[in-house]
Amino acid sequence: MAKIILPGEQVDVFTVDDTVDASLPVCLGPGLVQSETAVHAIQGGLLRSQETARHWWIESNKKRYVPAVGEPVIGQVTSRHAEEYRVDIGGAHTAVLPALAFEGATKKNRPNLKVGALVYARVSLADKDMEPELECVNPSTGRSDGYGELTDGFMVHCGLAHCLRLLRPNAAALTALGQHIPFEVAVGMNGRVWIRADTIDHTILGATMITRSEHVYGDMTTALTASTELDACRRLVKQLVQQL
Amino acid sequence: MSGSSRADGRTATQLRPMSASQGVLARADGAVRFGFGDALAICSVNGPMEAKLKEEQLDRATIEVQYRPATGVPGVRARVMEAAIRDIVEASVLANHHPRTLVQVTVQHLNEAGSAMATTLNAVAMALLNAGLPLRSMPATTTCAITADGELLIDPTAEEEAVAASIHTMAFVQEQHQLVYIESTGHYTEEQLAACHELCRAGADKVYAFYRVALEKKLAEEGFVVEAAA
Repeated sequence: MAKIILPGEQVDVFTVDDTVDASLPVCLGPGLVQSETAVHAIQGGLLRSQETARHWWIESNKKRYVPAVGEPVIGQVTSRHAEEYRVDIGGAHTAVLPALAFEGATKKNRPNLKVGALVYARVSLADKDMEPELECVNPSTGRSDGYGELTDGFMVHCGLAHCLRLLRPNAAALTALGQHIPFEVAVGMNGRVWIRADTIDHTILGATMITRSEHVYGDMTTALTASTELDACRRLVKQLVQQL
Repeated sequence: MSGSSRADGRTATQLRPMSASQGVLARADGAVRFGFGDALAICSVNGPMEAKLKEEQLDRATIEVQYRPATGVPGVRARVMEAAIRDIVEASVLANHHPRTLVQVTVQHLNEAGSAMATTLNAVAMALLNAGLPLRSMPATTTCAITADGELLIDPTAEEEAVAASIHTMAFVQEQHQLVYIESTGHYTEEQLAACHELCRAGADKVYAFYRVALEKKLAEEGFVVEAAA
């Protein structure tokens, strides 16, 4: 179930039928806040819920990133300091990436990132009153989990909803692209996508595909389903390959 | 009230057709061009972004407003507009959600053809929604003019405003139909103002319904599966 909701409108999250365990706590996601007596929307979008788990949230598209803990982001190093790097992640404040928050980093053996370098990192601290912090290592295992510096390749910008779509398993745009060229991709939830393919031509093709696939939905004439989405992406990538 | 009294063939309670283009500026976080007929304004919203040190507020976002008229240099009228926009923005945006940041609201009037304030404030509200800023509510604004012989005309054109005895602009938020902003010029009685209030409220309902349709259209274009209302 999904319905359109505008900011200020009330959401009834408390009435439940027999199929839902009423003792479960209600969990509010992005776009919803609780006032004294009721739950209100603070964003416009689609109201979604997983009623058996009592989870509620609002889905919408934005361009400006607001950091949240655990999200993967692509940042650009803006300055180097003794113990940390300052990284631009597209939010209101620059993030701090400690020089030791890398796989196998020690005081003597630390990564050497240049100003302007791209890094794929996870947000480890996000609070509205504090600067966000990043890490390129899983603190419990000490492994990089795929995070770290991004070398070569190309970075493009897109809407936050599109990034989320690209992060889903079997994302239509990436599946369609993968049928034509081999590539490596890093998707940040801050509206940045990095891609690297075997040749420069293919990298450009992939980057174009990622930006163009954001707009295939507006032209679709059939109802949007997983298969029509994949078909639309296949048509787009075919068209781009022919132009190559 | 006679139905055919208006030059453009509208009835006294009929708004001009509304239009909105969303995301019209590629580099802004939110941008909407809103119009009542050929009265058009474009608003862009950027933020939350980094604030200059001296503008930073520790507990809330700083709000910066800029308004430019369709023709000429910004003067006293533009300052009045800016004050009205600031009122609406500060009442709507939950500024405490993003402390130490800056929210920039820029409005450019494209064509002044009556109901300038209402056109501007609706463009601002839609742009705030488009930018995805946390909002307390969505204000919907309409203007009503009272003619010399006491007739109420909603959404007046520039010609109708020029001969009106008084002009009233009111903004409402949808919950409980609360009046959040009012600006009146000219001579009028208390009864006339009450009648204007009724008319503007009915008009604001239509504007609000338009917001919903516009959002639905935008979400469908962005690939969200919107279910038809049951």
